[in-house]
Amino acid sequence: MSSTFIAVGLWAGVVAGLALGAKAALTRDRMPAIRWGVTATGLITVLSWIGLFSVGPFLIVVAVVVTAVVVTRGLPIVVQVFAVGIAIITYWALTWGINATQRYSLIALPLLCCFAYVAALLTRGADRRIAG
Amino acid sequence: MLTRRIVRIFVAALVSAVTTAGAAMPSVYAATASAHMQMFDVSHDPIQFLDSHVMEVAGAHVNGGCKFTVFLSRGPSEQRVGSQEIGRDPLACVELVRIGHVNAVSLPTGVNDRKAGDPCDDEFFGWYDPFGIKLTDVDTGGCFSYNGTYVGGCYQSYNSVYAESPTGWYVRYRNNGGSYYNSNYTQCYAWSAEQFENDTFCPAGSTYTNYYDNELIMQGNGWVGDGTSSWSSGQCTNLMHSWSNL
Repeated sequence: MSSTFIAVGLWAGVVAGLALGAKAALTRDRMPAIRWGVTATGLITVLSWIGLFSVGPFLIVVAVVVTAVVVTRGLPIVVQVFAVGIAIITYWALTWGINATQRYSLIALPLLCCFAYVAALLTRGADRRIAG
Repeated sequence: MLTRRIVRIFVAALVSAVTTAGAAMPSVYAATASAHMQMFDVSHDPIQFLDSHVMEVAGAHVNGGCKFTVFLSRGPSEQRVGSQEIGRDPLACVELVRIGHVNAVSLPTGVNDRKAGDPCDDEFFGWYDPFGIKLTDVDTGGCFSYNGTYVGGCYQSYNSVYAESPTGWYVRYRNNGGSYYNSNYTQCYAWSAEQFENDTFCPAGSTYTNYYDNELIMQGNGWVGDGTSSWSSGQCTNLMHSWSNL
C-alpha cells in the first residue's frame, strides 16, 4: 500500500467521520442513529489520537456533539439543545479550560461518549414503554 | 436482548475503530523495515524530490531521544536539496532518510535558489505530524562572499522559528546564535539552538523537538551545507517526523 494512498485515507477518514456524524444526527430512528453515532465517534476518536499534536483536539468536538445529539434523540428539543450545550461546555472545559485535564481529554471525552451511549441503550426500553 | 444489542453495537464500534486504525496507523507504524523501525506517512510533506536515494543514518542516544545529524550540501548553481525522515528505530537509534534534489516550487519557505555570486542562502528544518501539519520549524539565513578558497563577509541574516501554538507547542529554549568562521576561514557557520516543548495533549507526558545545533554552513568554494542536528524526545514522538531543505 503506497504512502499516498494511506495519507489520502487519513483525511478521507476525517471526511467519513464528519459524514457519519451528520448521518447519525439526521437519522430519525433511535437505534440506527446510535449505530451511526457509535461508528462516527469511534472513527473520529482514532483520528484524533493520530492527530493529537494538531487537528485531534479540535476534531474530537465532533464526536462529542454527535453523541449528545444521538443519545437525546426523541426527547424534547429543549432537552436536546441543553444536552448539546452541556457537551460543548464539557469539551471546552476538559480540552482547553482546565490545564490539569488537557492531557487526558482525548481519552476522557471518548469515555464520556461511551458512557452516554450505554446510558442511552439502557434507557431505550423505558422510552418504548412511554411511547406505547 | 438488550445486552446482545449492546454487545453487537460495541463490537461494530470496535471493528470500525480497528478498521480505521488499519487504514491510518500503518502510516505511522506498520510498514516496518526492521523489527522496531517505525515508518512514517510522509506523503503530505510539501517536498517533492526530483531525484533521491534512501540512506540509513546512525544517531546517538541523548536526552531521552535519538539525536541525528543529516548533512546536506549544494553548489552555487545547483538545485535545492532536501532530506526527509521516512523511518526511525528508537531502540537501535537509526533512521531512514530520503535525500536528493527537490522541487523548489513545492516548498513553503526558502524557495530562492542561490545562483553563482548571490551572497545569501538559507536552510529549513521542520517537524511534522501524520496529517502533514507543521509542528515546529527553524529557518536560518546567511550571507557570505567567497573567492575560491576563503569565505568573507559572513553573517546570519535571519533566524526564524515556528511553533504550532494552538495545540500547545512553545519555544522552551532559544539561542539566536550568530555566525563564526573556522580557523582557516574556509567555512563560516550561521548557527542557532532551539528546543520546543508540548505539555498539552500527549497523555504519556511532555514532548520535545530539539535543534542543537541548527547550522547553515557557508564554504570558501561557494558551496553551502546544512549540518543541523535535530531530534524528538519525550512521549508520543512516533507521531512526528522531520524534513529539511537547503
